[in-house]
Amino acid sequence: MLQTGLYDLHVALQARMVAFSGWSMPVQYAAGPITEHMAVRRVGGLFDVSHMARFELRGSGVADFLLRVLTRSVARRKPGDAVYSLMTYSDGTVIDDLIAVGKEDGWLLVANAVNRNKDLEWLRQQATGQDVDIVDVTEQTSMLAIQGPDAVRLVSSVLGIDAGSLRRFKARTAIWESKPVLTTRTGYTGEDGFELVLPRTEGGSLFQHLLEAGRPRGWLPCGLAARDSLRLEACLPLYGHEISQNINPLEADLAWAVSFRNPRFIGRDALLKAWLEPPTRRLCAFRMEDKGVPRAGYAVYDQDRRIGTVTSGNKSPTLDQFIGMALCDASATEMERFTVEIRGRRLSALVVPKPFYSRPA
Amino acid sequence: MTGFAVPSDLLFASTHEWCDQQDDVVTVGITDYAQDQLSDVVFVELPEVGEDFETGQTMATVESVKAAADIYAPMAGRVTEVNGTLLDNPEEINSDPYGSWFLRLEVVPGTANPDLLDAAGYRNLTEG
Repeated sequence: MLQTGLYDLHVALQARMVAFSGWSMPVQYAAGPITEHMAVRRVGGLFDVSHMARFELRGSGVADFLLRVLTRSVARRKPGDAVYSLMTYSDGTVIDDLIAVGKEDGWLLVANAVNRNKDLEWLRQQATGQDVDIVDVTEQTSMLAIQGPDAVRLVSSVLGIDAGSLRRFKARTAIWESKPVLTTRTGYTGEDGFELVLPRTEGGSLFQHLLEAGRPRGWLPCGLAARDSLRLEACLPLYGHEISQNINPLEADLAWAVSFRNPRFIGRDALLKAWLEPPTRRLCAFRMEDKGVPRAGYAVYDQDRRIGTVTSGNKSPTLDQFIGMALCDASATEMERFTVEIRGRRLSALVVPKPFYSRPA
Repeated sequence: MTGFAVPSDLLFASTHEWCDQQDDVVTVGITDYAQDQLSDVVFVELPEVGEDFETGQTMATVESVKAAADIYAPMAGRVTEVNGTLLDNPEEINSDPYGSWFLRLEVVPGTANPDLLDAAGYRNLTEG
């Protein structure tokens, strides 16, 4: 089992550790998932996301290489840009979703922990014969997420930068204790926030400084459970649930992350063909009308007809309702309601627009 | 893990229900250890008053942010009362597990389940 650089700190903070994609990770701290979730919505929460896969790409062929492996175009991107993108197979199904961060000396790809080996293998295979050097830096770095309406204030004060001037999906290198901290204005919670990549050995110390500075205002350390319920309210996809090797990005409403103007990416032909045909499946958001907890894998019905499967579901702490997403026949998007089979009973759910939660402007 | 409350006047099932038997009425809930393992409770499903259960049958369901868990009948009996406040305030199970009874069962007078543990036995089970 892999441990992040913050393992000892998690234990000291009374985290409950669980196995996640080969890592021992905090699923929750003493406050509990719902309190942690609400702290992020109201003030802020700190997450250790060091389990995320991080690959450094360097070499004269990198820009060209990224045009082939990413669905978004990075052709006009510069250092300081962060781009959410997908990697797809030639049949258009999703290998992974990731954020590519432009640096002065190359690119950093931040991808899902569960896909680390698969991604690395795919990238290396595609890079064969080109001047592209791929280094897996996951275990040499720490990654923290600082999320919540108070994030600008906390990051500015602790890192000594004007964090508010960094725009969404932009990156900048700050210096902390004379070490570089790659700071991007990104996150996975639906709130304002930042993600920081720094040398592994400094992660725990920075986390502790952020927590000490934020605690008096209500900041909490947050685990994977809160991270999951936050991203569900924001309708952000989770690999293996809303996107996978069996779901194409158009079905998952991720057409915005596919740039057909990029003529060269792997999967383009298949996705263009799918784009020109009426969709057969779509990702729907729903909230339970009858009381019950929808969970991934539960069947969705229209009358007696099976029309889909829940991809994610749980209680929404912000809305105080049971919510979920489901991959359904495309017709479901026009329905007012369908039923979800929960522990042997078909319970009514209302089809609702995505997302469940967006932060106040 | 240590430090979970285990009241000495109750009996416990190895499936983490607590039982408070007063003559032929048994009050049932889940233990402090169980609520901690479940994490934040978000939903409870209770049986109807008048339903009969055999020992070990599923009587109720409790769901947390993490998972669903069944509540088993610690003894055979008929449901005489359910705690409806839990339906709207399931989080009370986390804050007050021994005050948050799920239901009351009427059992045949003189019934006992020899498999139920006393406080020392239950503490052994959860700390062992």
